[in-house]
Amino acid sequence: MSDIEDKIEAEPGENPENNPIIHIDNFDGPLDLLWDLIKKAKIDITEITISHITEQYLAYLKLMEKLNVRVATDFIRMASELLFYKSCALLPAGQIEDEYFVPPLPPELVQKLLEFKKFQNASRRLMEEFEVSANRYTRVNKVEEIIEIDDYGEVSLFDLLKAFADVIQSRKAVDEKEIVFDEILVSDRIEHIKNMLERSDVIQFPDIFTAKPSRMEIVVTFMAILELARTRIIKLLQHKIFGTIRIVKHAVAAVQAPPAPEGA
Amino acid sequence: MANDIEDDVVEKSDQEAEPDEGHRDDDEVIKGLLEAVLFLSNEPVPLSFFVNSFSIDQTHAKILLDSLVDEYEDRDGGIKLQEIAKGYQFVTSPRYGEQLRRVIGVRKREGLSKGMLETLAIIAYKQPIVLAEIDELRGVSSRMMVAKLMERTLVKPVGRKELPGRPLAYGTTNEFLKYFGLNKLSDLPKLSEIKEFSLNWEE
Repeated sequence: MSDIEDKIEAEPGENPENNPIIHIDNFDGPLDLLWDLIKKAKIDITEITISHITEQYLAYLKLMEKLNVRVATDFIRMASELLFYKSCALLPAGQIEDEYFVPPLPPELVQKLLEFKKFQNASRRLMEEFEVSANRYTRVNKVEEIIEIDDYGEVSLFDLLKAFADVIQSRKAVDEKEIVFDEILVSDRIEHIKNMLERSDVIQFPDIFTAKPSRMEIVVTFMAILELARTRIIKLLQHKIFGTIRIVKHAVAAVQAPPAPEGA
Repeated sequence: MANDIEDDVVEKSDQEAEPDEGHRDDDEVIKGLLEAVLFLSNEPVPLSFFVNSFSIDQTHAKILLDSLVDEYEDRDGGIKLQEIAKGYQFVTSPRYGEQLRRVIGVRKREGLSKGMLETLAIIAYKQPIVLAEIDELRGVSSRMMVAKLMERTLVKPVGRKELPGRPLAYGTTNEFLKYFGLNKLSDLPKLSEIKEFSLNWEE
């Protein structure tokens, strides 16, 4: 938002005579702007009229557009909110019509503004606290160096050789490792589960995995289950929380489920 | 509290059967030990550390530490003992911040932008708070601000609120306390103490 204020301040001659608002020091947000407008009017927040402030606000938006500032949606939203309040105020309220009655800011907006201001002030206080604490420094010991020096003993040539051997050993271990790319495809797992379902109507969830499934297999199988469920080929049933999940063919489930949702 | 201390003193005098003078020395010795630990520590040392390490009761430890704080405060030298982020830590006096930066080359911590500060203030006072509530209070979308604050580890998600969509609720971190030199959250200035937002315009 800072570019907005820069640009606006840079062009003080730009505003028309009825628009005495140009020295906004720092607003970032519609509430900030609104607050500033009210302050400029030097009127108590409870006395300022909705039409007055709406006018000013819209004039401001126009000015920003004129200056080719990309007006943030938040500002436009607030403008529409103001217009909404204004139109509400214009509607006959069914009470005694007073010709001289000027509708004030709606209390919810006043409340919002005051609440916003409260936190803005709080943030200023935080800034002051920061200024003090940013000037304090703490020590930065390198703890390990101080403490652990005593723990090291003398090193013999033998130790050194052993250490060297260890490194060689570990390198070998890495070199010889064969990377097995076990290709497990989601489609294969889907076929597998389908086949199992051909043989029996109900499969218990753990049974679809092999004895010692690899991480890859678990993930792929899980994806297969999700895919099967999504395409409504299977249905997943559970008789209680944390109970064993059963996989059922969708057609079967549709028949079984309504009368008694999963027996034993 | 006062009772606790007296008990402690009585207990010790039973054990060691020494005149009163001796206990004061005792306290001084323990206090020195605490001071030494604090001197070496990089991080704020919590009260519980002293209680557990030196088997002194909590009230006793607190009194000794607070009197240490006072001593450094009275001396008003280059070093202060500060109660910060739920622990005690030696810090340099803010008076010398500028010179230290120049001479030692320590860096000043990066400040926060106005928007970040606003967002942080709202989170600090209203935690746990969800993003939508922050947006509402500020009148602008604050997602970026919260993300930046998280990057600086000043705020973190602290749970979810039972609202539609179970949105994440945010709160401040220990780092936040350190950043602002606070000991605990309740040390924040009370919102009611923060003047203004009164209806007249004396700023």
